[in-house]
Amino acid sequence: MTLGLINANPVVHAKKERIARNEDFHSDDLVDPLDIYDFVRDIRDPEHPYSLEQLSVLSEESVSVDEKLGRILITFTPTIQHCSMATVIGLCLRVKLMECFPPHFKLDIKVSPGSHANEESVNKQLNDKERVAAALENPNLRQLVDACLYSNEL
Amino acid sequence: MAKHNEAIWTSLKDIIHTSKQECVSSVNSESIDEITSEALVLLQNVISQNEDLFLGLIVNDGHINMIMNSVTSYKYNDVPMPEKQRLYAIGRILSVAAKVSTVSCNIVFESFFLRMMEALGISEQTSSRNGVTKGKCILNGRICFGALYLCTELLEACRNLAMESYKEPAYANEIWCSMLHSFSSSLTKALGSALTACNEDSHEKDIYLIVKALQIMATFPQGVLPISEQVFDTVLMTFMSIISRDFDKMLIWKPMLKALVQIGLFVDKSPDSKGASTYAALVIEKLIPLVSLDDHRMPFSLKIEAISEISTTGHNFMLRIGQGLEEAIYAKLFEICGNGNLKSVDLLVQLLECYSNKVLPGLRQTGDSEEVALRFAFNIWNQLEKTSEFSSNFQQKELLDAAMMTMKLAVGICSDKSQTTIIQKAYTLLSASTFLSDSFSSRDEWLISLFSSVIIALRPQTHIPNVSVIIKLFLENVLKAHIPSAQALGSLVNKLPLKISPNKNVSNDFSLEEALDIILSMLNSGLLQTNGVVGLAWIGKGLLMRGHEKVNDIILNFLRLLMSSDGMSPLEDGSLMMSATDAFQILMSDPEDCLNKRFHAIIRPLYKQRLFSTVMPILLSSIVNSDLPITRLLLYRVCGNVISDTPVIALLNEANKLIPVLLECLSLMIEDILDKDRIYSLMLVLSAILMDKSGEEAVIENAHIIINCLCGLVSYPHMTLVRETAVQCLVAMSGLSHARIYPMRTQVLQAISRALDDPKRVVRQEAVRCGQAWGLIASRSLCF
Repeated sequence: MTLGLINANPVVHAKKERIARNEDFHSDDLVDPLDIYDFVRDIRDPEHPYSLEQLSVLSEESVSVDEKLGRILITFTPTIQHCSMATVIGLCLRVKLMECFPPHFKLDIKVSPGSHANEESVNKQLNDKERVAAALENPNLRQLVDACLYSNEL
Repeated sequence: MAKHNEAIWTSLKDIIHTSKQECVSSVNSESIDEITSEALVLLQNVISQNEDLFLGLIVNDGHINMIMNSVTSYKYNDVPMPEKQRLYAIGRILSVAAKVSTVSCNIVFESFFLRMMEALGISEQTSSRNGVTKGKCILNGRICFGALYLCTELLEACRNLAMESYKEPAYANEIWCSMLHSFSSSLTKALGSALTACNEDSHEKDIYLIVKALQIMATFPQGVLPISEQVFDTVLMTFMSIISRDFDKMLIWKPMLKALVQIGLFVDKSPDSKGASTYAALVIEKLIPLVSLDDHRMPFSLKIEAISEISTTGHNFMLRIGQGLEEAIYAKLFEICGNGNLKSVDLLVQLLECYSNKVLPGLRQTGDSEEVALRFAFNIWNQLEKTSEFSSNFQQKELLDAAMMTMKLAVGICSDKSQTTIIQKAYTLLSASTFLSDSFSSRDEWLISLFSSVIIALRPQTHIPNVSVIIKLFLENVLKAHIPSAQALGSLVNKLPLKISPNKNVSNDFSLEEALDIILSMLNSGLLQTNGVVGLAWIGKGLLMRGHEKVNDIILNFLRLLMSSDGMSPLEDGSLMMSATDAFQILMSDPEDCLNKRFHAIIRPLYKQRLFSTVMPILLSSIVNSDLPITRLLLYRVCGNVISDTPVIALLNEANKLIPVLLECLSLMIEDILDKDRIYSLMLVLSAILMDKSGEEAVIENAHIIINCLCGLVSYPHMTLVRETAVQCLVAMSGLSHARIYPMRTQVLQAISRALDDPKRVVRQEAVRCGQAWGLIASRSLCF
């Protein structure tokens, strides 16, 4: 258990302007990366009172979706190479996306290539169903995830 | 003291420079943050207190001079952001400095104006040169953004100064005035050619700036230096040539039109000035022929848009444009009488709509609108009189609808005396035509429809001749399914006097009682048919709105129709019953085209609430007592029609009784796609009840059935708004007491998970909110 913050001085960027989507009354609205990004961009960082967007952990370009196959792929960039909060962030993303999308969507959550020292093991952990379920049964972890997801509403 | 000034100047400069607000916006408002605006106010104050000292500091400031010397980028996009911020800051500072007084304006102009002109490549106009050199900042007609921005700020500042001291135009001899005067002509020409060189690749902010600069030049106080009449004319001609020629460059066309409107509003403030007459000659008189000419290069909708916008600039201009449009309307009407084609019909519809939507309402606010409206109505009837042949073009429904609305609006403006003369004119024409009982030709339809329009728009005090003949004519046409005739009858019974006052000297006056005798005897005699029911519905509406008790008989007639089915074949039965159901929708509706305030209807307050409280108990007891499922279905539909148009406040008192009825209506109508608008209206009522505090008790009592119904509607395939509202209602339900709603949590979450997959984004987003709301009412445990 490390004392103090993992990354004490993160670089904070401005929030990008939110675009209002045009409604097309005649055709169906397919799920596009911006839909997904809008759900996750405001998730709070576990350590700092900033959103993942402000800390450039996430960007719109890091989201891709294939509606026909029902797959969503998100890659995120932890602020430092040895960030042990990476798994928590990944968990937050998974919980949020599971709430926002129907069960048939498959979610792949990964750290962006080269951004973390233990990239392979982190990716494996983030996409393992049983380990995710076990993590969510841990009340402390659950509380932390809830704080990251819902602190806007409190 | 000088030391303090310097310190103040440095601080203010820093503050103004750190403002991050965008300055050149395509919307005309400059929004700067509070700190910067306070800094600018302070700057203005200190300059006015120590003019020489402060202006000296500004003029000699190294930073400002450096920026001045380097404004050479051509386009908005070429200027990097930090440099743009500096530019805006300097622009604000110079603008504030120039506005303080004539002296300060002179100093600012002396120091900076010439350099700006040089940067733009513009030299003084002389008789030999046209004043534009291809200097470093004009390349292919493009203008330097930086220099132009600063120049525009100065122009605006000195214009404001000129406006303030307009009463004493002593500024004619001031330095700034003569400097501007000597450059104004060449500047205008350069800006004009830059504008013509703009295309779809140009940035909208570059275009905005050029247009703004020209607009400022054209809105200096008239007749006084520094802007000569010639410059004013040039600006208007430049704008008009773009309007009529470059209509495919929307990026330029729209700002141009807005600028022309602003100039028009400005010159209208002094309508007798030379500027106003020049504007009329160069703009108005050039626009009007556009709608008459069959020039198909410019899209007609754009011509109409240009004319509509310019018509709002002033009363005199509106009158002239109205006149021009009228002539175009008569000409087009004449054309399509002969031959014409669908295109001409479409153009005529657009002309009529422009006249109805812009000219007539605009004139309504002024005194001479009656003259215009009366003339228009008369001319239309004259034209119809002269037309013997009604070509197939006249069968276009859109055309007839547009003509009817224009006639209604025109007649509605007129006084009661004028309205009487119009009725007489129309009646003469009508009585000269023979209406054959079986056929309904184009001509018949036009004459009777336009006559209905006249009747619909009458004031209650207008005297109507030959009322009994008119009523019988309308009744015959009602039975031929002519809706405007039904609406005209409704309007008549709404406005006719109750009794003839014995003191009145007017003969041929008709009372409501006499009218109703004729109407009801004709409609009630024999077997009632569907068209008769529709007619009765409109008549009932007219009576309901004024609070006449005869409406109760009519309503009972409808209910009797719903509940009896003897003596008729099932087919007739069905359509008759459906008309009776729809009659209630007519009774409760708010039509745009008749029986409203615009057309002088008599409206007793709370009439809908009265109908609701009269009819609802009868309906509810009939539902309970009826045996046939078809009857119950129809009664529920009637309930739905009544509930959806009753003001919510009246419904809340009876919410406990009404909620089950409402939900039953929803479930009965869910199958038929034709009912989707009715379902949506009922959903709006339900959501209003759910949101209101006073409905809470009733909602809690019925929580279970409400949630059942909403979960079904979440998948309603025919209308997105219904699904969206259903999900929103479920969000509202999540706020109720935990004990009542917890058992239904699973059902709701299942419905919501289907909504997460909805084809429409807006429904998916609401579903996420709903899922979160219902998830919060229990501990968070997600199932995989």
